[in-house]
Amino acid sequence: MRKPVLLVDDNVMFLDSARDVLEGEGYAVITAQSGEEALGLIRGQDFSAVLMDIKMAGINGVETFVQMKQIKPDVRVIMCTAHIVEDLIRLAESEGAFAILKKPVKIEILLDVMERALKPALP
Amino acid sequence: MLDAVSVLAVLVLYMGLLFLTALRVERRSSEEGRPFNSALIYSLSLGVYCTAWTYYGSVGKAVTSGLLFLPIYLGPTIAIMLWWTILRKLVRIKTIHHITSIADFISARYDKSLAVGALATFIALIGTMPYIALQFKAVFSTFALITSEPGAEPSWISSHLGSVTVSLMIVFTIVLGVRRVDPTERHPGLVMAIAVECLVKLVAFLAAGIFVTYFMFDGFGDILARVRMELPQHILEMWKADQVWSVTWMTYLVLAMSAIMFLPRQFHVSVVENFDEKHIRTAMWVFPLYMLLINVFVFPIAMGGILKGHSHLEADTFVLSLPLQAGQNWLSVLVFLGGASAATGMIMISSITVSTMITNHFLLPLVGWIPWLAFLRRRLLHCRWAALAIVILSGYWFEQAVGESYMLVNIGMISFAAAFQFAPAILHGIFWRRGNKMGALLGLGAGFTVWFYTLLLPAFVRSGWVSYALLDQGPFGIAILRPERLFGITELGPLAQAVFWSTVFNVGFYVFGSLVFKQSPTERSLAEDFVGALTAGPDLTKSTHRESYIDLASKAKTILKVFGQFFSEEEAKAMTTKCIREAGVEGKDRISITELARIHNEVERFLSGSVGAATAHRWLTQSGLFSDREARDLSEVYSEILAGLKVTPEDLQRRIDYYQEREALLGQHAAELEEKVRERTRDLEAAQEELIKRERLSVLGQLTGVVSHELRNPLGVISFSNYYLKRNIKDPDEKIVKHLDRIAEQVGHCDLIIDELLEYTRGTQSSLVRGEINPWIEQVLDQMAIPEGIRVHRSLGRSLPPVRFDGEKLRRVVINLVENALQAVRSRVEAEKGSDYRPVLRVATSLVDGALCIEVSDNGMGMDLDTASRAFEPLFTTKPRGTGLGLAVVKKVVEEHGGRVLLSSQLRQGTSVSVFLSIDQEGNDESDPLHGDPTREPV
Amino acid sequence: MKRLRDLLAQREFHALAFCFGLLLFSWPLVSASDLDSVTSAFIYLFGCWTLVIVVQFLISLSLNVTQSPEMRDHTES
Repeated sequence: MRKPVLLVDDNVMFLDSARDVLEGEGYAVITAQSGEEALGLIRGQDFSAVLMDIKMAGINGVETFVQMKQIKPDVRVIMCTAHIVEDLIRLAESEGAFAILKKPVKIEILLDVMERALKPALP
Repeated sequence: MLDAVSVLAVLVLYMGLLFLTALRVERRSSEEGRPFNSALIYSLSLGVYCTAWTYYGSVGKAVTSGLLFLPIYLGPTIAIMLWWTILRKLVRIKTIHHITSIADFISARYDKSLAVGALATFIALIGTMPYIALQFKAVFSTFALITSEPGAEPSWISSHLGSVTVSLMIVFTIVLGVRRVDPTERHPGLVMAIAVECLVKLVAFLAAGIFVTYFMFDGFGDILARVRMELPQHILEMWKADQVWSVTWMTYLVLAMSAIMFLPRQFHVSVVENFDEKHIRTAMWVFPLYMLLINVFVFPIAMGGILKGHSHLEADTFVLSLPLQAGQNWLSVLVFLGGASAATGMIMISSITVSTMITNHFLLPLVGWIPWLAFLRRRLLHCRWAALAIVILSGYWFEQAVGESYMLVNIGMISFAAAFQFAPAILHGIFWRRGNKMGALLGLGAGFTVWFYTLLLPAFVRSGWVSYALLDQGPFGIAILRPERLFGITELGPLAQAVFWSTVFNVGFYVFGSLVFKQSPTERSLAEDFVGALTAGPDLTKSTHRESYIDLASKAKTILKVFGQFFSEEEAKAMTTKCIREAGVEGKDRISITELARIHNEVERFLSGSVGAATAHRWLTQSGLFSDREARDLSEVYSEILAGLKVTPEDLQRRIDYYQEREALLGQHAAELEEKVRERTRDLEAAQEELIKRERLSVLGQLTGVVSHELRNPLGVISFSNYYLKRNIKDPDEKIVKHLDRIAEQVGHCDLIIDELLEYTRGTQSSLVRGEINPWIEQVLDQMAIPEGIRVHRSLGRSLPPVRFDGEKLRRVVINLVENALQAVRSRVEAEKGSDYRPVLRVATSLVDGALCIEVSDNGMGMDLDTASRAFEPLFTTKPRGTGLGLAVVKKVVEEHGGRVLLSSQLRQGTSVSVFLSIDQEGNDESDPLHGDPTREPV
Repeated sequence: MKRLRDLLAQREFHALAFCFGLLLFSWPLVSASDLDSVTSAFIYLFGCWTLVIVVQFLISLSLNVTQSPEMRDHTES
């Protein structure tokens, strides 16, 4: 059984739809509605990948990602955003986000990126 | 012998023809706006010097005194050598000071003195009156000769010839010369008549001479030979009787030299009637030739008459009597007409000039002193007529009263001696600055007194009017004061001693007076004007253009005529008045040349406003607003100004060139500046537009930022939900699948629109990163979905240098360009269904002129010129859907990179867009489109 | 030719010609002593006269009227 994928977004409807799609594709999906919640979750368990919106109420996606890395340094995080928030995108890139996707996320691309993220990192 | 009536008829006919000629000339000169005149007419008119005294008297003189008639013509011949200096100077002064007579000239030189003018007039009148009498005598006696029949009763005409001739002369002279008051005192018609008369008398005399010499004798040689053999001894004795022959010869020579210029009538024709200085040049040889010709037969005729046995007492009429007695009636009439011409010419000119002097120097000053005579001022013309009639009548009276006396015979030389009194005042006046009014008054007075005492008084005595004792014993028995032997001089003879003493007194008193008395400032300036007349300088014209001599009324008429060509009469009148008012000369009678120039400018300005400058100038030039003299005066005004500037002509030309060039440069510069201002304005407007657009876009940007975020989330949700539905729907029927696909497609479309909006409104910040373009572009192209059947040909240049670019933004550029290309080929596929069209895209990178070029080209629909030129405008689109921001974004991004975009397109051939990125932009991370290279996209 | 023209145009030359003419026509050269001298004087005077007119003609050809605008077409300066 694969490790679940964590979806973080403050848009509940997106969370729900995305979970349905990903579960339909055979992923185990856990959702969180905010960065704080996601951080709480990641402390408790491992995730094969994290799909996280950058722009969120409370701490933003990139901030969350930075803190996540302190908890789980090898966590693979795919960031996505509806905004062109260049600073944050650049920051996310430099922090080593696995990918940065643009909303509305094309599902084929998302699945492709997920597939690559789930592959074990080469030593 | 001839019939008196026919002779008179011929004479009247001849005068009538002269009058018609004169009238025609006057009409022509008034039509042409300039006096009809020529050098030849001028030269011929000088022949008025040869009066009846010459015509008949020379032969008489030749008989009684041998060659003594010749110095009268030899003197002028050599004096004419100096005309270029003296006469030209007189003419120049006449033109400048508007001299009307010899008295006027002398008066003008000497402080415009009334006394000098009056004295000169008096001398001229006294000197002329007997001379006119002599002419009448010649006409009467020759008329009697030609019509007399021995034993017959004198006809009515013969007995009333005097009054008939006098009336004719008065009327004719008035009609020809004094029809109106002409301020210039020039009479082109009269001069023409005089010239014709001079020609007639020359021809007549030559005819008579040829007849006598070649028909009555066998030529000159024959006459001279026979004279040597047959000449009666008493004739030679008579010649030798003049003890002081050589003195008389020289006296005649000298008197004639002065007479040719200073006889009032000679002064009138040679100076006052002169129209052009160049005529002097011609006259300088034509007139001596004229004199030679009219004299060449004098001696042969005289000798011929003697040889034919005529009495020396009839010698005065040999010219007429020889042909007459030979039965040559027609020749006789011609000779008579010639004599009449000589007489009438002299009478006309003399009476006109003397009458002018009388009115100007006697009457007008008198009117000034006596208030109740003021009405005469308005009757100037009638006064002139009266004066003229008086002069002619007094000449006639003199002839009747004196008759055959000694005086009349010698009056020619006495007149010459009177005219000689003018010489010192005039010659000193034009050559010696210090000669002054008192000198002139004293000199003229003394000279005239001596002349009167030594020449006129003895003539009176010999005519029996005064006791002979005066000549014998002197006044009151004082022998030393005997008029013909003044101060004991007995060797010279009466005439020579009179000339000698009058010269001594005249010149002596003139110089004495000039040295003792001081000149007034105005006289000094006048003297300067006169002396320096030929060397045109500032002083010369100073008084001219200040002097108001131009008749404003006649100028106003000319202007009215000019305006009348273009406007109604009332308008023209109003305009003329306005011009005159604008020029500031309203209400004046006479204006100066500068004022005329002002009026001219006003008129031209006025006219230019209505008919354009060129037409105005042409019409004004043709109008003759400036007479020749006024034009010359005006140019003198200018030359004064120029002389005042003290620059050489070359220097002046240079300065004019310089100023013209400078003006041209300034004009050019102004145009350039204007162009620059326009350009700047355009730039500023563009910048302002850009700013407004930016402002709008930044507001729009924030808005789209918010809206797109808010839209993208729902779009994301929709696409996920849609995907889920599509995956999980049980036995999907075709339509459901179609609609689900459509939802996905439309979401994608919405996304695209949001992308473009965001891209276009995004801030200008770019993060330029140095990198290889080829791998990057490959990656971008790889990520694009290229539809089936369209080939994308990649032609990436090798070893391209790295450039600095913003990958994210430039990706947008490439994507937009490729998408446009795809769109274009798809359109063409649809438009040319069934043809063998093969859509091809080409993406190329290369190095062009130091810039990296990314070229995206297709063989699609292409654009027409209008579309192509607007392709980069934001919101311009030909697609049914789309934001029209695609190429605008391309341009914006490329310009943010400091690069430029080129688009070339041909309808149904394809489009090619090239993006040039500068490769040497190190250290220029941020490029601001406002201050960066403002390249425009050529289309 | 030009030198001749320049000479003839000078005022001083006119003065010289004047004096010369005065001498030509003066009494020492003309007298009335007897008939022979009268006829020869007649020929002499008219000959000189003609000569003087020729000189005057040449002078008039040499003169320029620079001050007179109408003259320009007649003078070749």
